[in-house]
This record gives sequence, C-alpha cells and structure tokens, in this order.
Amino acid sequence: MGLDFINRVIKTTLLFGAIVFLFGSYYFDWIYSLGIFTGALWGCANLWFIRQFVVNYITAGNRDAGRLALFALIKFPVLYGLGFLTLWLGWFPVVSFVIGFSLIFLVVVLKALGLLLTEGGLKNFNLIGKRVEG
Amino acid sequence: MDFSTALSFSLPIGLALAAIGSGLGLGRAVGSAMEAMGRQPEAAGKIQVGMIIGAALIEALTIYSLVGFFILSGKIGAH
Repeated sequence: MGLDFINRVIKTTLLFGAIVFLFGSYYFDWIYSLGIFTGALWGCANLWFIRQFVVNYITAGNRDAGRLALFALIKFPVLYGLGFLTLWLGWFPVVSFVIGFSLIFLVVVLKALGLLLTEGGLKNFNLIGKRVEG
Repeated sequence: MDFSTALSFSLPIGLALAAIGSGLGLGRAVGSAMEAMGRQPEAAGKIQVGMIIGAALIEALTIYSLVGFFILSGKIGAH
C-alpha cells in the first residue's frame, strides 16, 4: 500500500460521485445530487492537496519556498474559503455536501477492506501463511 | 436562559473546541509520523499514506463540526 493508494482512492471517489450525480439527478433531485458531487469533488481536492503537501514539501529534501507558499495559499485560504462560500451561499442542502464529502472516507474504508480480504492483502497483513509452532 | 441564547453561546465554543482538538490531534499525528520516518526511512512510503489519510480524517471531523455550526446557526433567533 503505497502512495498510489491515495491516487486510486481519489479516482474511485470521483467516479463514484459522478455515478451518484447521474443516477440521483435522474431519479431523485438534481440539486441534492449536485451537492453530493460538489462535496466529493471538494473532498478529493482536499486529499490531493494534503498528499502534495506531505510528499513534495514536508518530507522531500529540496524545498522550493515559493511553490510551498503557493500550495499553502491554495490549500488553506482558497480551498477552505470556497467550501465555506459554497455552504454560506446555500446553493444546495448542507447535508448533501456532507454526504459527498464523506464518500471519500467510505471509499478508503472499502478499499482497505478489499486489500485486507484479498489473498495478497492477507499475506501483507501476515494473516495467512503463518506456521503454528509446537 | 432560553434556547436561542444558549445556542448562540454554545455553538462558537463547540466549534472552537473542535478546532483545538483537531489541531492538537493533527500536530500529534504528524509529529509521530515524522519521528517514525526519521527512525525508519525505508518505511517512509507506508507511513506517509497512513499520515495523509489520518490528516484527512482529522480535518474531516472539524469540517463536520463546521457543518453542524451552519445547520444549527439557522436556529438562533428562530424560537
């Protein structure tokens, strides 16, 4: 489970959010579905920025102060401000945004369970192939 | 003290407590991850993934409390 796990989680969440948006807008309510999709998009952007921040700037050897400042500016005031503005303007129900935002964690849990339950995952977690001594 | 007054006092305090808890938790998580990476640089990839997901989860809790603030702030003055 490397950093590729995060990329796969982001891609799956975007796909899941798009599917929920399409089905929800057709069968349920398109504004509510748009709120779910926007929440999923915001959650993915948040995770992507955290990943970039950690991988490139916190743990990397060479740091470019200008790019670090730019990332910090985009991640903290701009992304959070956009989320705040979206909730404040009330374009869609707040609950739908929260549901969309939570999709990414659902995907993380399901992917981790998938890794755990597959054979390779069980070997990685040392749950099978153990010898009983004695 | 009526419901609206109690809510207008407790909402900002609750949000501030959530932000403080999240900040402390995030600082502790990132600090421990940095220590672990310093001790075992070969396991940095796996530690980074756990740290990123943990940081996102901790941030999410604060965002949930902010959303709760938004939902409940509409009830101030309604009663």
